[in-house]
Amino acid sequence: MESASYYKKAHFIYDKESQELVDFVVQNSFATAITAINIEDFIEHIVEIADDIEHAIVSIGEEKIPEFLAIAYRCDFSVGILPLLTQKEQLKNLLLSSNMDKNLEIALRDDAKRIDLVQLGEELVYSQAIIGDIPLVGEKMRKVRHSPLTNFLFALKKFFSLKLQKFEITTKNGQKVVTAGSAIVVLNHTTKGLLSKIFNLEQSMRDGKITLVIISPSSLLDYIQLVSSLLFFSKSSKTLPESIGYLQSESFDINAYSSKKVVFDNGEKAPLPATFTIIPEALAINASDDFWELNQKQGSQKETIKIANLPDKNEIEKYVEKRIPFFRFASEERFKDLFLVLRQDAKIDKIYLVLMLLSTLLAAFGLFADSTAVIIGAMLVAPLMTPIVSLAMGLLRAEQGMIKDSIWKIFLGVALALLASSLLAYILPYSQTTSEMNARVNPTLLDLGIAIFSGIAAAYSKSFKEISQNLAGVAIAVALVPPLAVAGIGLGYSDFSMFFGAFLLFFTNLVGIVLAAVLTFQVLGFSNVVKSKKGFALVFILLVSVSFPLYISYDHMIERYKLAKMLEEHRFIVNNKYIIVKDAKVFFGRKMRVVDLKLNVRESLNRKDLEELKEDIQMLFNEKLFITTELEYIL
Amino acid sequence: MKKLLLFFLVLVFFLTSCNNDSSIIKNGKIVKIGVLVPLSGKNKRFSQQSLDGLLAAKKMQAYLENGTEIKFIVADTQSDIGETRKAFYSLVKQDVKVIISLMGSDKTIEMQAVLEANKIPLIVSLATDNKITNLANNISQVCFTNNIQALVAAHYIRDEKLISNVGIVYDRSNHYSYSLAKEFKKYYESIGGTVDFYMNVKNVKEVEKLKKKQYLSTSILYNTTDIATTLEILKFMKKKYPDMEYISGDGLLSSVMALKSFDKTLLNGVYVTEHYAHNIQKNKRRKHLEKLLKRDGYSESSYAFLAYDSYMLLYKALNRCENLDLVCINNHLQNSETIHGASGNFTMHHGVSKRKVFIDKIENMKLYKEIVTY
Repeated sequence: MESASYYKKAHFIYDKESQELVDFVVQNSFATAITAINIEDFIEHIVEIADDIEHAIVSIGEEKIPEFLAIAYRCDFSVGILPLLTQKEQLKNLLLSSNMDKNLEIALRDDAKRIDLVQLGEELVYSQAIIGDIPLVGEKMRKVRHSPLTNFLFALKKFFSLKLQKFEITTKNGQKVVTAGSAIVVLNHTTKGLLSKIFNLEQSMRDGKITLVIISPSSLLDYIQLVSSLLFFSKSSKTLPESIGYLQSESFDINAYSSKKVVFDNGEKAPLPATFTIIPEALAINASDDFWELNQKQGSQKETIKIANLPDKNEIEKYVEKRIPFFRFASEERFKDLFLVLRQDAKIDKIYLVLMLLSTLLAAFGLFADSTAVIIGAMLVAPLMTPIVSLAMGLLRAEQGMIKDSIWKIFLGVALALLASSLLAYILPYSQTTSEMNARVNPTLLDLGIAIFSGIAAAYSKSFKEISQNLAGVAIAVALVPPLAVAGIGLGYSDFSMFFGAFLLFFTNLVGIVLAAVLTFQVLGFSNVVKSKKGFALVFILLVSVSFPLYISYDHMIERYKLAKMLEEHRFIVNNKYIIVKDAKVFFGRKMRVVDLKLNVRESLNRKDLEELKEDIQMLFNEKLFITTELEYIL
Repeated sequence: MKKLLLFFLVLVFFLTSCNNDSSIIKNGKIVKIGVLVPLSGKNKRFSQQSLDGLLAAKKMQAYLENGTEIKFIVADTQSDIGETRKAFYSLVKQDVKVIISLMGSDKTIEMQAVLEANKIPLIVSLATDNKITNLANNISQVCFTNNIQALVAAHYIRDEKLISNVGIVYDRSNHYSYSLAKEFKKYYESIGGTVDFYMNVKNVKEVEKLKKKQYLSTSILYNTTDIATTLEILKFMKKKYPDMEYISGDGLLSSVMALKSFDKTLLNGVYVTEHYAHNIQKNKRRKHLEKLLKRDGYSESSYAFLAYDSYMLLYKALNRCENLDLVCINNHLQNSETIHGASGNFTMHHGVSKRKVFIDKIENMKLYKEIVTY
C-alpha cells in the first residue's frame, strides 16, 4: 500500500462549535504544523494571511461553507473539510465516516484534487440553485428555516396554487429549449441530495458540466407522487419520472417568464435572466476515496438533453399560467389509439345488435329456466358495456359526437332487449316468476356499489392495453342484460311492478358505471382541458335520483334483515310448548308485513296454540302481520 | 351579554325543575304502600338491590295522575317468618293499599295462612315459585315462575345445545332451589334427556359429597344451590372437569354482587335463566334506572329491575282505580295491559306475568344474551 504524505503546514479554521477541535487538530500525528484561527478573524484578516495559506482545514457550520469555498477558490488554496460529528449533512455529502481520526487524516493528506464550481454571475453556487416553486420539498432544499407548521402551511398554500411557467434555456452549444415547468433546479454536486432519490443522475463534480433539472408535473396528483418518492423512498429509479426532464451542459442561459429571481445555496438571491457557467477544476479539496470514486474526472463535452416528458412548444400555451389541475389532462395525440377504439365502440354496428339480441334471449331463457349458469353465459355475450364506457369518456372530454353515438347505441340496445324479452314472455304459454327473476326486482344501494366498482374496473381495464379487453369479470359483476330481460318479461306479463323494479336495477347499473368510469378516466388522466360540466351535472342528478329509491329499498332490506334476525333469536312458550324459530323471513306485502317462519317443535301445535303464538309474535311488532309457518318436529 | 346570561339561567332553571311529575297537580292526598323486605338476617343480600330498584322507580313517578302522593312504609322481615308476620300485620294496621313483597319464595309460601286471611293485594317481586299465585287470589307475581325458567333451560340444553346428559345439584332445604331443580328434572326427562345424578347439596360443607364421585358422561351441571355453595362447586368442578358446562337459575349474578370477595372468573361461561341481558337494546327507563343504581356501585341487577317492574305495575293499577278500592286495584294487578318494565315489556294474566326469559352467559360479571324466550 502506498504510504500517504501530508502537508507540512496548514491553517485550521474553526467556529464557536468546533473550537473544541483545536487541540485535536493541532496535536495531529501527521507532523503537520497547524495555525488555528477563528472564522471571523480569518475573514477579517484574509487579505493579510492569504499568501501564507497553502492548505486549510475547515470545521464550520454548513451555512458558512459556500463563503469559505469562494475565498479558497479566489485565494487558490486547497481545503480539507472536517465536519463535527453532529454535522451529518456535511459528512454525508463528502462521504466521510464518523471516525474523526480518519477524517483528520483525509483532511491533512497532501493529495487534494480539483473539483468544478458553478458560477452564477459573480457568485459561486456551492450546492444548488432553484428557480420557481417546489412546494413541500423546496423549503428543505433551500433550507428555509421557519417553524415546521409555518413551513408546512406555506408549502400547502403554494401546492394548491402551483402553476407551470414558461422557461427558455440555452446551452453552451447554443441548443435552445423552450418548455414549461413549476421549477428548475441547477445542481452542482449534491450527489446525495433529495433529487438523486428520483432517478440515477449521472453527475460528477469533475465532469465539467452543470446539471439542470426541470420539474414539470402535469397534475397535482403527479406532483404528490413525485414528492412522495422524494421524501419517503430511499431507492432511486432507473427510469426518468414523467414529471422530470434534465439537461447537462457547461453553461446555461435561463429565462423564466414568471419568476424574477434565482434562489441559491443558503437563500441568496440573484436576478433573472441568469447565466450559470461551470468553472472546471476550480477548487482543490481533500475528500475520501469513496468520494473520488463517485466523482471521477470525465472529459466528454457532449451535452445531454432529456426533455421528452416535458410539454413541448405547441403545448406550452395550453398549460402555462394556469393552476395545475388535480388530475392530469390528456392530449388527443397522447392517447390516440384509445380514443379511436372508444369512438368506434360508440358507433352502432350489426355485431352489436346481433349480440344484444342473442344475449337477451339467452338471459330470458336462463331466467325462465331458473338457471344461473345460462344467465352468466348471457352476461358474457352482452355487448352493452362498451358503449357505456364510451359514453363515460365522451362525458369526461365533452365530445358531443361520442356522447350522442353512445347514448343512441345504448338506447337501441335497451329497446331491442326489452322488445325481445317481452315478446318471448308474451309468446311463452306460462307466466311463472322464477327466483332468478325475483332476485332482480328489488335493487338496493348495494347494487349501486357493485355498479360503481364495475365501472371503475371497466374504465381501468380499458385504459391499459396490458389488461384483457373482454371484461368478463366486470360483465358478470354488474350483469347488465339479465335485469333488462326481467324488465322485458315484466312488460310481457303486464306486471309493471316487475318491470319498474328490474329496470331500476338496470338503470342503477348504467348510472353507476358511467359515473365511476368518468371519475376513473379523470383520475387516470384522460380528461380534456375543457370539461363537460353539463355531462357531469347530468350524471350526478341521475345518480341522486336513482339513489333515493335505492336507499329506501336498502333501508327496507336492512330492516327486514334486523327483524328476521331478531325473530331467529326468539323462542316462544305456548301452553308450555317450547317453540324454536329456526329460520325467519320478513317481506313487505302490499297491505301488510309478511313473516315466514320455520319452527322447530317437539309437540304438535293446535289452532289454539298457533293463535297464541301469533299473538306473541304480534307483540314484537308495531303493526299487523301476516304470518306463515312451517313446522319441523324434533324427534 | 347580561340579557343572554339571564336567558340561560332562566332556561337552566326551567330545565332542571322539569321532571316526570311536573305536569301533575298535587292534591295533597297520600296512598300508603307497604314494603316487606328482609333488611336483616340471611336473606338481606338481595334486599338492598330490590329496595334500590323500588325507590328509583318511585323517584321517577312519585305521584299518581290525580296528584295523590305514593308513600312507602317499609317493614323489615328480618328473614324470619315470625318477624315477617309481625311486619305484615303492622302494615295492615297502617292502612296500606298494596304490599310489595321483596322476599324470596320460602318466606312467601310460609305466609300462606296470613295472605289468605287478608284481602290486601300483594305484589311478589322476586319469588319465582310457581305455587305462590295458588296461595291466594290477591297475589300478583311479577317475575317469571320456576316452571317456565326450568322449561326454557331444559329445552335449551336438550334441543339447542343438543346435550343429552345432565347432573342436577340442589338444596332440599331451600324451597326455591328444590322446586326449580324438580321442575327442570321433570321437563328434561320428558324430552328425552338423561339425568346422570340428582344430588342434594345443602351447603358448602356438603360439596364434599359431590367431590367423591366421577362424572364422566355428564356434559352440563344444572345447579340451583345458594351462591356460596355454587362458587364452591364451580371451583372444584371447573378444575376437575374443564369441559363441563354449567347452568343456574335467575338471580345468580345479583346474589354474587352482595359478596365481599370471591374469584370472579369462576362465573365466566356459566349459563343462567334471567329476566334481562346486558347486551340488548336498552329502553329509556332502564338507562335511567341504571344511572340511579350506579350510585350504589352497580347498575344491573335482576332484583332491582324486578322491583322497578313491580312499581310500574302498581302505578298503573292505582291510576286505574279512582277510589283506590282494593278489589279494583287487585283486578288491575292480576290482569294488566302491557307494562313497560326495566327489562322489557310484560303483561299480567290471573296474577302471573307473561314476560321474556333470557338464557344468558356470564362473562366478566355481565350477562350476555344467548336466546330470549317469550
